[in-house]
Amino acid sequence: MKTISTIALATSMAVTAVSGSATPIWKAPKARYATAPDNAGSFTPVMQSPSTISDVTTVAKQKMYSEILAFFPGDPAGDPGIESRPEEIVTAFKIIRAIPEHMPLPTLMRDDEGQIGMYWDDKDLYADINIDGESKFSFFSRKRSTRQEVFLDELHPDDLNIAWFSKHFDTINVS
Amino acid sequence: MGGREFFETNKGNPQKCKLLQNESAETLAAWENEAVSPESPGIVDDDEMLYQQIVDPTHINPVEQALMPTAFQDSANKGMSVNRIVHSSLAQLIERGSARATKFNSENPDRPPRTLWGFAKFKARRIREIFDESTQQRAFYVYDTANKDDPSHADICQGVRDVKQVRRSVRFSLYDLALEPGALEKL
Repeated sequence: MKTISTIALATSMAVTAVSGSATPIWKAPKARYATAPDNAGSFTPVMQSPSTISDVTTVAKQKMYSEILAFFPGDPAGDPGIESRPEEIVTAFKIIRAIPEHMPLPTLMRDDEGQIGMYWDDKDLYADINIDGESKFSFFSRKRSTRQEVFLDELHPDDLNIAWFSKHFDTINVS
Repeated sequence: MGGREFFETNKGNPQKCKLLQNESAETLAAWENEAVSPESPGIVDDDEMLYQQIVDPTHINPVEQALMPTAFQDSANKGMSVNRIVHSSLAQLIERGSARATKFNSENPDRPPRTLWGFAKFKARRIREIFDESTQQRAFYVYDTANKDDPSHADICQGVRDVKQVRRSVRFSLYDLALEPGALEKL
């Protein structure tokens, strides 16, 4: 069963996800659900086409937020056999939120011990992030063409901004 | 201690690869040249093809349906299980993998159901040729860890010391090898 603090944390994350302004794009869906009043005055989902890059990327991030929220222990959409620490789930959430507009979104991964990570795999550049604890993560990348590797440890989500992503993802459009 | 004694002593040890990392590269390579299991049909030849079971969703991201680098994580600790196809057959591996998933699902009805997605196929030589970029040491060793139920079983173990950068680098190398044309066989 979720603790109250966990529920509060998840609720806080969900609200932030809805109101967040960061808007990347890559594997974005072609349509999104919105709400509109029906004849009875209640709200039902309707399909809309995203009209801007921001719309599309917000939808793509929402999907990732949902995936991350399912990592919370006890989440009905999650795997009860794998436990991730709530603090690390929040760190993953913050990293996704920090990814700038136009930047491809990563694919999430989680191992049997509950450690959360994410990775990008472009044709030349591979990069991944591992959550190593509360507000801590490490970054690894390798360029296939040059075999050049980068490894950064003890990073914090607050370190992330457009300049950071531009520096480490220079073969991917981050503008 | 010889290779056989090490693997007999540490059979089922989820940290056996970490223990291996205390041995020298020369010792680890020498142990590849002795049958480390009494049930072994022989040492793993460089030209043998090794099949790793890829299980959905354990190794496959459920949303993107993409192979995850964590599929190769076991090589750093308990050993990455593979089967030597020369001592088995694809039909047998499919049967075993499917039965394993079915058993897991019946024993864990509250967890997401698992299916055998397919196989990642590696030539032993390619695994043995992977070097860690930062230390320039050989990354992986392949041992004939056969057992009575599965004489084709082998383990891929990370032999270079497991610090964060090394683990990520060599894990990527395995992942990249699995993405080569023809290496992934989806059922």
